[in-house]
Amino acid sequence: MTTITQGHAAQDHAHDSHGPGHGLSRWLFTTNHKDIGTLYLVFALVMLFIGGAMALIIRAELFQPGLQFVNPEFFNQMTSMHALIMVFGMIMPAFVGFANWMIPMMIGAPDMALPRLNNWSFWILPFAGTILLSTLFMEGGGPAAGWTMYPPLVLQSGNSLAFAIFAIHLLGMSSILGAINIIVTVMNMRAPGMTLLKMPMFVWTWLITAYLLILVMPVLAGGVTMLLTDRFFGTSFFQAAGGGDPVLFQHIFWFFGHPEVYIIILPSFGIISQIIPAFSRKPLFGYSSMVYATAGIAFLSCIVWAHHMFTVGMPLAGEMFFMMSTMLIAIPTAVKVFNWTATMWRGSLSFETPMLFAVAFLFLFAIGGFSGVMMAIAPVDFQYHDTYFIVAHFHYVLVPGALFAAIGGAYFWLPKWTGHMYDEKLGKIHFWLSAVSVNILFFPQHFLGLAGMPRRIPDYATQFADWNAVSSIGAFVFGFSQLMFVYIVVKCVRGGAKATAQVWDNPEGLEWTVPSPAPYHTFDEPPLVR
Amino acid sequence: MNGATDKRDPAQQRQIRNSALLLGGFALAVFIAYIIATALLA
Repeated sequence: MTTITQGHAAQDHAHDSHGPGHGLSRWLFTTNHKDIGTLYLVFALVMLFIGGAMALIIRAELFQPGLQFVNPEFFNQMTSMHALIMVFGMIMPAFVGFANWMIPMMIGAPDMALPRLNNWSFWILPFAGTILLSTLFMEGGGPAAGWTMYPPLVLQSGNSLAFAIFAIHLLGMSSILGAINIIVTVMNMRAPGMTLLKMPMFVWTWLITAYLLILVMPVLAGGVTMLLTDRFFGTSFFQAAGGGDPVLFQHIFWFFGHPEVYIIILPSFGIISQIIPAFSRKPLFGYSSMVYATAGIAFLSCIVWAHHMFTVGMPLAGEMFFMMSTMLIAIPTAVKVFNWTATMWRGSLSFETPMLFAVAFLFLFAIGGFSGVMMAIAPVDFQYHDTYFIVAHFHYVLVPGALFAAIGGAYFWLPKWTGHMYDEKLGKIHFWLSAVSVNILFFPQHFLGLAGMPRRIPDYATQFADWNAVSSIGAFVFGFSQLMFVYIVVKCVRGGAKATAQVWDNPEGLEWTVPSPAPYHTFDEPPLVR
Repeated sequence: MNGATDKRDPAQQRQIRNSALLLGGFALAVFIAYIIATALLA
């Protein structure tokens, strides 16, 4: 993107009567995109530690063979709730938080297009999260059939299933409303001269993600609604005994579930596409090919869902189609990895904390991508299916992939948000602790899976003991090193060296033309973009 | 409540409302269509 910005970017609107409110009412009734962005990010951080605590319960139990700490029923609740919390309560809200904070500033808009809807989108979340967590204290416990909620197993759940489904409905509604807001903002509120192909990559990736959300979240809502009626109202959408088809649920779930992976990873790509050029001191290589690759990935993500179901026994032609289409995703993804590498090529590189997380993302996300291609091969997927190899694969995509992008993005924009520089030395220690421990945590799981250890079990054969112990040690180091991130963020919010408007060495984009911290209202007068 | 919305011209405000309703309507239609399609297929 080559954008030359001019201007009266933003003023500090001390004269404006619309300043921040005071106390609790500021946060309850705010319609300001920066406040709502902050709320999303804080909520995501809280959920990271709740979901992380569940992960540590799982890894503590798996530290050695036999049953140590929890009974199998509770273990199953932990695996299911960990996934639901991390996907719907942590990583998605985190990226919506980034979108809220950054998109209006990046496109030169004064706020989101639908500010009151924005407030509502956020405030649905804490209620939904509380309802979901409360199922753990209900008779029979929380959801325990995995986050995929496959019938017929899930239909044997207790009454808490109704609460879990209601929570999923609310979380989905929040996502749809947020997505509508983002699309409407980007399509209607861009500053004069900010054409679509001048938008920063982060905005592009979010625009495409928002369209994906609107396409697939209602499908999940439909699927879980049918589960609800099957369980409580006597229908037989998915009950074979009543003429229904349990495998049909898997098709519906994964028509949502696979694009969901890209709903999580595309905004990560966007953040990485902002960080790497800034610390390479070069424009992003192949901007338009990045846009087309993002759109290509989004399209392909909608036609590959049944690669999650190779073992259900589908026709050979179906297996061939889903195998080939899945492998095709490697092409636009490789375009992206190539372009990030080419951006760094002969750049004037420096490795501040955001760049360290971005480079780690490049390497470690690629590991998750490569194991994904392995699993796309239908005949060999029969060996990997439902093993720890899958667990290793998607955690490489989601943790050193999506989570590292989110953490890198937080370090990148913290000075813009707070007006202070974070502690670079602590940031680097946090990075190295995270980068090393995340590999100790997840890499051995490849070996466990290939050796045949099934996922979602609290106990295992003794031959798997060594790598499980290593993985658990990595989990505890990784988990506790994230406390350091909280300390660094709190320290940065409370004070530190003053950040300049540009923060970094001549980064590109409208957000760097406003002072740090960004004024409560930016771009009351649209900036000129050439 | 929000300075930004007060200053919009009515045409832009109308366009924003229409696009939001269109997207919301689409989401609702997908939700209903999937339940009907599943009922027919199951």
